[in-house]
Amino acid sequence: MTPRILPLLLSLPSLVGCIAFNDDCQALVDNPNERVAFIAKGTEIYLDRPNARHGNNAIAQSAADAFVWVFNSQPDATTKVDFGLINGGAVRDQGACVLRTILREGPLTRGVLGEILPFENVVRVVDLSEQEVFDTLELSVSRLFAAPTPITSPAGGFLQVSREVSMEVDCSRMAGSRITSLRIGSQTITRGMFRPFPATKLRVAIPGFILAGNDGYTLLAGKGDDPSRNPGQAQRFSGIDSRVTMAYLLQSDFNKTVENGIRVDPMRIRFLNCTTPSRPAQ
Amino acid sequence: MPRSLRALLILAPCLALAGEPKVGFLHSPPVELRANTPFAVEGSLTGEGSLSTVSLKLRAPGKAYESIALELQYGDLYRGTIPAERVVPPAIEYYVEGTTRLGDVIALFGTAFKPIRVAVPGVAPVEAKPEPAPPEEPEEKPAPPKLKCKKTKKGKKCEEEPAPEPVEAKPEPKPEPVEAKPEPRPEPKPDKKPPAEEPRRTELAKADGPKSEPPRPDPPRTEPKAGKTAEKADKPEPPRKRSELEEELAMYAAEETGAVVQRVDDSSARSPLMPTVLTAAHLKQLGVRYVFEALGLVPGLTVTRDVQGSFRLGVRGLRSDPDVLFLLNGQRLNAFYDAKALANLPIDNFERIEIYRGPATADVGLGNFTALVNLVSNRQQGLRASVSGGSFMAFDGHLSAAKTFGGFTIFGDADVVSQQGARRTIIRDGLDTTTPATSDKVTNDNRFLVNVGVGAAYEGEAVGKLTLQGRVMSERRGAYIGRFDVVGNDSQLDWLVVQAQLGWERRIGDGGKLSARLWFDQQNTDRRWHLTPDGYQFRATAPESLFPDGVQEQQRVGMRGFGVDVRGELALPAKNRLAVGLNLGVDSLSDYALMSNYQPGSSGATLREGALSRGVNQDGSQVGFPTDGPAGNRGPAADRLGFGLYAFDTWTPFEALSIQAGLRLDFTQLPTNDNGVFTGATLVPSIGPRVGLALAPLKSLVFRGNYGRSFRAPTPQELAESAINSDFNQGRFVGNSRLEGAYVDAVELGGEWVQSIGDARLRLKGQGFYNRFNNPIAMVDSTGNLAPWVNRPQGVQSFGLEGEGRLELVSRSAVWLNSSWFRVEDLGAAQNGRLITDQPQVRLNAGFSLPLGPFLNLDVILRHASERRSNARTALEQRRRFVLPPTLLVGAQLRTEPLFDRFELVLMGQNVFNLEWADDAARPDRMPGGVPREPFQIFGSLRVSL
Repeated sequence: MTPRILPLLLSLPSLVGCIAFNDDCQALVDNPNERVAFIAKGTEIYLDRPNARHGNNAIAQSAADAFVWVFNSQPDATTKVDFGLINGGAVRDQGACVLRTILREGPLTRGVLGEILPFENVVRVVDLSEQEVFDTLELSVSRLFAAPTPITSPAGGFLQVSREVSMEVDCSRMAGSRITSLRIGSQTITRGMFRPFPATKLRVAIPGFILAGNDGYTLLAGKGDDPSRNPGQAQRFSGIDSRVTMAYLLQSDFNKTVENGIRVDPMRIRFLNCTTPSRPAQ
Repeated sequence: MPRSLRALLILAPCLALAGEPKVGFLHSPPVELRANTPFAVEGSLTGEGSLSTVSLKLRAPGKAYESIALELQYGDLYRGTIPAERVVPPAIEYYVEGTTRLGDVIALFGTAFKPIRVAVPGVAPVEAKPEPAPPEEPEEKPAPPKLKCKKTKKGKKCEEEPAPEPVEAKPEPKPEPVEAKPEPRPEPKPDKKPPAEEPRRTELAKADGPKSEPPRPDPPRTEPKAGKTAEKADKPEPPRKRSELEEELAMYAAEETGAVVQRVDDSSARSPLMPTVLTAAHLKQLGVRYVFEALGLVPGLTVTRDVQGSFRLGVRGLRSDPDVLFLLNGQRLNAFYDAKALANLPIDNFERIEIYRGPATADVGLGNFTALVNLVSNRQQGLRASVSGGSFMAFDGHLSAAKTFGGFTIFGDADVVSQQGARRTIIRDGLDTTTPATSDKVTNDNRFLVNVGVGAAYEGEAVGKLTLQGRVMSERRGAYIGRFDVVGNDSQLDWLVVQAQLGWERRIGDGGKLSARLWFDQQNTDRRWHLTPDGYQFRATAPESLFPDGVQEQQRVGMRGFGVDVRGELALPAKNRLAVGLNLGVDSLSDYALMSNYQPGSSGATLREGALSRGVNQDGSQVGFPTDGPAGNRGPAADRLGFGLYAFDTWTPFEALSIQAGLRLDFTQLPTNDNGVFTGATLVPSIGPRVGLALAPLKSLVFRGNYGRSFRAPTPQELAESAINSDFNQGRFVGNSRLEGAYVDAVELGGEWVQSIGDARLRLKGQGFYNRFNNPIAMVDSTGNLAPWVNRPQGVQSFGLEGEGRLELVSRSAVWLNSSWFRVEDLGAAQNGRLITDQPQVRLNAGFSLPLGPFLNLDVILRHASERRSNARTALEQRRRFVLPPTLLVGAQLRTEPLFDRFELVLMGQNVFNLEWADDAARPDRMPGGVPREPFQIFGSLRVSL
């Protein structure tokens, strides 16, 4: 048997159709070509690591908004969620087969969004005290690079926030004291204020991955198992972050016209003295 | 000859044999026997039917048969002994038959017309020349019992013809003796004037004395002719010539006894199930040394190795340790905690390996979800020993023996295995980005195994049969690569297994029997993992992150179980046979510890001085143990009570049809949870119906179908295992308290066909299957972090085809081939990620055996597996992709025939073309080279039978 014949024989089953494989290059969602939203006209959304983990990111912001929406839009929701968080590391520019660092204006399909949010983390909800919220967000920004230090290996634990959150971060300050202002909904939370839980509690929707204490958020570990914190899990859309985000965008105004499409909200986290990520090469 | 007539002649034997009842005898004839040495004949009654007795009919070639009773030992195992004086050159011939409760005699293994011939090397005794019988004698004189066969519409039916009264008073026929005593037969008076050769008669002839074989020809072999001409034709041939002939025929007979391509014999033909049975004779021909190597040649099965060096069995496209039930002499081998089984034992001491794909019959306890593998030790009388050595400092020694003293039988076996193992280069591992300069990343396949089993049985009229047996297995080996994604050559994995069982059985009434068994199982694993090499330092600027002896974890698990099995069998009217029974067992974790020498931090870890102590997480909390329960109580996953009831009936409304129906009802203790937190335990019921049908319109053609439903409970590991939560442990799997049990519904349809063409024999077998798994438990990493085992609520389905063919040509020559194809879909994945492709979808195994002269055989074995790729159930699986190309491995061995009646030599080569091949790694993105498999290896073996 010559070396040429052998590979041919070995590949015979695949040639005659006995063997089938999945399409490696297609996102693992049904109806991958369905549009879920527009990227707003004149907008570019950057998906590279510095832009996903060191600055406001429109896709991650939409996901955080979706986390809040999936709970609060339920007709029988008894306890409203106050805000949502998602780790920047959940946003990926590596597609199944292509690198996608920039999303340009136009339709955003289900397949592309599935590739951008590839991790199937369950969206969970839990009550936190103000102090715990403050500590969580301080930890989030503690690993940001102060200008003019270049951004190298930004931490995936940087938290993108939902529209209910408005905060200011000063990277020139020491880690642990970088948040200079924080407002959630109508409530302003100031540094140093400590109110024992549950005197004041905030309800946050967050990926189960973070709530399990990963990415350094050990202060959250176990809180999702504490019944007194009223833990819960998104039930609709399988409770998976990417599917929740798809459902949210699909019914949102972002999906009506390209003019109303997704664009970044720079005011959710205002960065002072922090290194600003640049536009990726492509 | 007209073609139609030729076809008719070919079909005639098949038609003639069609319609046999639906029981058989699973038995492995030896290739040859040592002269004047007793031989224990044993085998299992298969199929369903009601038999009152089972007996072996024995003769010297060309002589009349005598009967030896086979006694029920336990379960379906029958045993009897051919006395030493009957084992004389050049050969013996025998077949096995049974008597139904209605008195019908049915052939079980071989027939009077085609008995099994086993060569007995040596000089054939010179027979006493028989007195020439008068021509009219056959019609007038008493003859030995002979089979009277007649063809009916349903086929051929044989029954023992009543013997006429002898001329002289002889002992009356008695009930079959208990063991190895020739059945008294009326014989003609021997010649009182012995011929000149009389003094040279062998022990057999002397022992027989006046009852030596009659001069008349054996009716089935010599045609019903009498007279001097016929007798002369039947006179013994010259010893040398006869011996060669008998040897050839004996080898041919041995070929029939089983193979990777399952034989189609009386025993298996009528069972609705479609097992594969690897007998000792064929295991020797397959060029394999261990159980998993043999399993890799079975259609529908694929054996892979993981990074830890464990062999894993994929069945019809799905690979999960808890899905496969391993039994060793009827006792479960799977460890309670993680369901792994210390089953990669040497094949030398096994009589056979039985493989059932899919749920087996209802009388088999839970655990046989996708397959059942039953290992049966060799309990034949005598002493057998073998040693082998070969590549990579491999040395094996094996011993098995059994001896009967009156009603007592003692038996035992032992294996000692030692190897350094091949050292294959690991191209890249999970530490390459931080320690690119680390050299000598190679596999560590060293292993030392001791396996000792002993037992004794006593059988008496009053107590029935009592059997006590125990076994100790101890294994120490290295982790082939390491714990997860990094080479840890200093890892040491210890496994100790202690098992014991006390069995009792007794016949009850006519055709019934009652059996009971107490069993005990203690398994301890102590696995010390090196997660990094010695001297690893996480951060160059932090001396506290230096680990002189590497980062280590140690997992110690002790498991203890005991229980009782009770079974009763009853022959019912209308050709029904009912088996009912119960299984009760308790398993618990007697010990559990997960220890480490590190404190994980946000970036790496710091050394914890001193001995390894209980593991801590990144947040400083202690890692949980499955034995830890709520509020200081014992973890509910750590103990399990199992209770099962079953009833299983076989109905044979007519001879060509067999219908089985059974039901299992099990109650399994499983933990309850509230939102993922264990709250206690409850008994979870499960129901497993089984239905099967076998239709044999011809003896040579059988159609079979069966349906089975089986329950699979999550293991304690799947429910409650914790991993230390650190940066470098991410991607490992942890327990999930929310897990629920899974069900499989399995359907098989198939057929078998046998065709004899002259001396050649062709066997073909094919089957299709469909499995639907409801809520299966799977390892699906969707987050890249500590990922829990999960149920797949949408289910998984698989379907496929399996085919086997075997052509037996002439003596010691055979060609065989089997192939399988499957498709598995995870219905919970996205449309384009459903296919499960980490197992080869097409498998093909083939081989042939050729005699090279009178003393040497050549066996060649080929294994082909099609391309494998990563699954794509999640984006992580899709991106951590791997492609493993098709493989074609070739093995060959030279094997002698028994030399000096006692010795066999084997020279075995595996992967003789030294093909590079690999299995999938846990993290293919970090270990793109996968798990490299064994290169060319060569072994030499010497087997001795005393």
